[in-house]
Amino acid sequence: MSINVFEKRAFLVAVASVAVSLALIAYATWGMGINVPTCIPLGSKPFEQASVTKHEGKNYEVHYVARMWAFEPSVLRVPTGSTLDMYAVTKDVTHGFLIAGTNVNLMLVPGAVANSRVHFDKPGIYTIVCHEYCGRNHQNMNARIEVSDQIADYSVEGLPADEGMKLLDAKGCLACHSVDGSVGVGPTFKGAWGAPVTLADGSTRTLDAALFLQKVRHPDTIAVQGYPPVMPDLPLTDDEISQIEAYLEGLQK
Amino acid sequence: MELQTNLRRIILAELLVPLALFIFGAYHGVMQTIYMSGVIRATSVAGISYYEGLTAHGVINAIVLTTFFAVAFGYTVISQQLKSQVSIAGATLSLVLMLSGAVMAAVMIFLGKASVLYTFYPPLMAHPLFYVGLALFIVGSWVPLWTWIPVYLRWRKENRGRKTPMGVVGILATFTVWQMATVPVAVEVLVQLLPWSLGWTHGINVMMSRTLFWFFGHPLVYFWLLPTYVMYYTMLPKLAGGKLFSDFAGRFTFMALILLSCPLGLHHQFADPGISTTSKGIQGVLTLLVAIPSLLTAFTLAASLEYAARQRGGKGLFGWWSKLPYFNPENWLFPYLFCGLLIFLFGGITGIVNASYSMNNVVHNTAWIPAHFHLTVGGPIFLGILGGSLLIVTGLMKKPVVSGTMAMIVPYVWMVGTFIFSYGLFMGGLRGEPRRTNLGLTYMNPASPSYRPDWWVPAHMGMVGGCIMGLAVLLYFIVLIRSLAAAPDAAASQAPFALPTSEPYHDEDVPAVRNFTPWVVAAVLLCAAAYYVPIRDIAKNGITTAPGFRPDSPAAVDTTH
Amino acid sequence: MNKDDSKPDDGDFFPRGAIAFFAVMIAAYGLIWLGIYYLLLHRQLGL
Repeated sequence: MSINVFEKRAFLVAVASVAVSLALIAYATWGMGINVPTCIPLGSKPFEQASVTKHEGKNYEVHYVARMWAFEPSVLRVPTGSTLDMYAVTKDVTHGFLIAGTNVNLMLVPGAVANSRVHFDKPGIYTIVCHEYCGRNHQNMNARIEVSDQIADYSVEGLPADEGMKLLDAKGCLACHSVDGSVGVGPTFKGAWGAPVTLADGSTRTLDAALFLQKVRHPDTIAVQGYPPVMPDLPLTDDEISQIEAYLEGLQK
Repeated sequence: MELQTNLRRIILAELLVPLALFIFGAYHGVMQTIYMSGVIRATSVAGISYYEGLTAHGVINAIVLTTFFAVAFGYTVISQQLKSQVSIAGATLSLVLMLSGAVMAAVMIFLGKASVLYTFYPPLMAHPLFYVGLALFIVGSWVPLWTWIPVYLRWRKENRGRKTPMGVVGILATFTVWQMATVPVAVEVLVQLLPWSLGWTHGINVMMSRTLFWFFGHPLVYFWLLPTYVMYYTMLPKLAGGKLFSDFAGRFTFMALILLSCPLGLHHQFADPGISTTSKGIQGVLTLLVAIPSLLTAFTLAASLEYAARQRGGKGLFGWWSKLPYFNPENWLFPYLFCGLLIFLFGGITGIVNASYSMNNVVHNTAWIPAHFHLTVGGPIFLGILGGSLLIVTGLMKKPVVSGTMAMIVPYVWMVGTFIFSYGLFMGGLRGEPRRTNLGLTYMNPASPSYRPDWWVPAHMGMVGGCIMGLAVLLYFIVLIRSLAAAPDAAASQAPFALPTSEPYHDEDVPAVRNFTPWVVAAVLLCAAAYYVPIRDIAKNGITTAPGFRPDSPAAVDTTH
Repeated sequence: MNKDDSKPDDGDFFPRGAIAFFAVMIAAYGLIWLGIYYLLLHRQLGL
């Protein structure tokens, strides 16, 4: 005997329901451009630094970096009506990236770049939450985007470069090195990064990561011509050094 | 026919040991809801951290308890319905491997060396013995199927033309799905994670690990669900006082789930980078297709319950629902299955939402997700495990159920708890509340700059629901312990223990659903087709250099010494 | 249906109650699904 008639009809209803859902999803995807994250092509390798770049109009490209247990940048302020093209990477473990009230819902996986585009047409504070367990302080990991009618252009906090400036102040570097070109006990940082520097022995080096690291870790092995060799030992971590470097890179003449 | 004595002991161990571990699993479940509400704002309580407890909760409840039950229930069904002896050596080997694996993993978790959650995503790195424990457990769970197949083939030869008993079809389907599902996770654990955690390899392809895990992780839920479906198709109609409306529906469901359980794990990775929308889309379509056998099951079970209710005088279009044996202490098992179905009504639709491609953006990794799965694995599956365990343990040990009334109440209390818990978490999830997060320290802490007052109600509903669920578990253990302690039941000692078995109302003969081979072959081909491209791309493009991290520190684990 | 289908007669049981349940279930499922679908569209396009 064959399949019971009511089972056959129930089966057809089930298939039809699934078909309707699929059709609506297809419409959302191709008709309205709502999609899940896709694979970013091989050319765009994970970037190292967080940054914000303004494009034409109210369009911003934001590079987020996630690490245990913070997002860089921590605060981004944009005018109402902005469109953000966000790329996000992780420096360590898998993190999540959820902006409640939007459809931005990403996993950040080592070695890959996540991407989502979001348009903010309503002012407010949008919290970015890490929603994938990433260790002990996972519940502390969040950031925010403030969308406001009151501002014309973006501002940002918590980029490594900002952290670098705060460190220069906190660790006492600014006592001897200026950031605005003025003369001090030590050479000014303004425009110094990547520029040639003459050492006391007459040789010329470029101020790059290697030289900077050597000077910071072993201050008395390098003396700069025209300046007293009085730089003290400083207990800076690798993270702090890279944040300072990021700041110095931005300090052009 | 009585079960072989040694088999009886093995089955009892496989039911009782996980239930004992489950006491810890349940404790951590209730604790989490209290942490998440902010009533407790701490990193740890009584020496167990939130995330350690969360790992224990997931591993014990969702892996150890579920797998052991499937094995034990499987042995019971196979032995009884095929009226055959099974290999005791195989059953013993399986028990020893699974038990040592479970204990090893549990010890590592409770030593705080494996707070990586039950998904153990790298680059979070646990102690090597955690991975060894998992591997032993999985390999141990492979053994039963291969000892059942010869028994089944012999039965087929001796019973030419007879339909294979429904329960046997379901159990063989369960373990066929499991065998297919566990291959990728075994590769992940043995080839990727274990050598990496030992420092033999330096760097891991995280996208590959995730993909292998979810290649396993989705069929895992069908492995959980299938034994409960066996109970629904073979036991429920009888307990209700009726018959199974359609024999075809059961067999079709089991075959369809063999075909469709595996090739759709990517829907757990819709939010992942590194996988194209094409692959995600194809597997998204397959995922919606796998809803069809479950929708059909809903109809078939409703029709079976209606048949039973009308036998008892049920009238009207909806009035007949009142004629089912909801509150009969002698028939205490019926509510376990019925409440499971009621809960599953909501688990099912929320699962369909998760599967619906871009709709996943709304819910992924929010509290919606645990709300969903506490209505599935924490609903019909869990109640099936509790009810089935109590039935088999008291049946094999010839003990009375003390008391039938309290046993009967447990699923109702559980159901109320899960509905409150999940409703709260659905609400919170849609408001952006994340899962797997110790909210009490920050988001639910009024003194924290991250405080979210709009999550207060959802988190407190979760706690109330969680505590009611804890109460149900407490009542269950009171029944279990009192029953075990009671004197043997004289009446039960006379007859051999037998699982209730239902007759079909429509006993259709549809050859297409009476042969495993084409479905298994098609399943393997479909898996290969669905996963070939994504895995190839990840192998080619994924980095293989991710170092490991302990949950406590942002400094990479140095395994280069 | 001129048979009394309130007491099933083997072979003639017409599961009208199950059909009614199934219809209600599919309708409820549709509503819940459409609710989340609407949320998706609303969050993207402000609909």
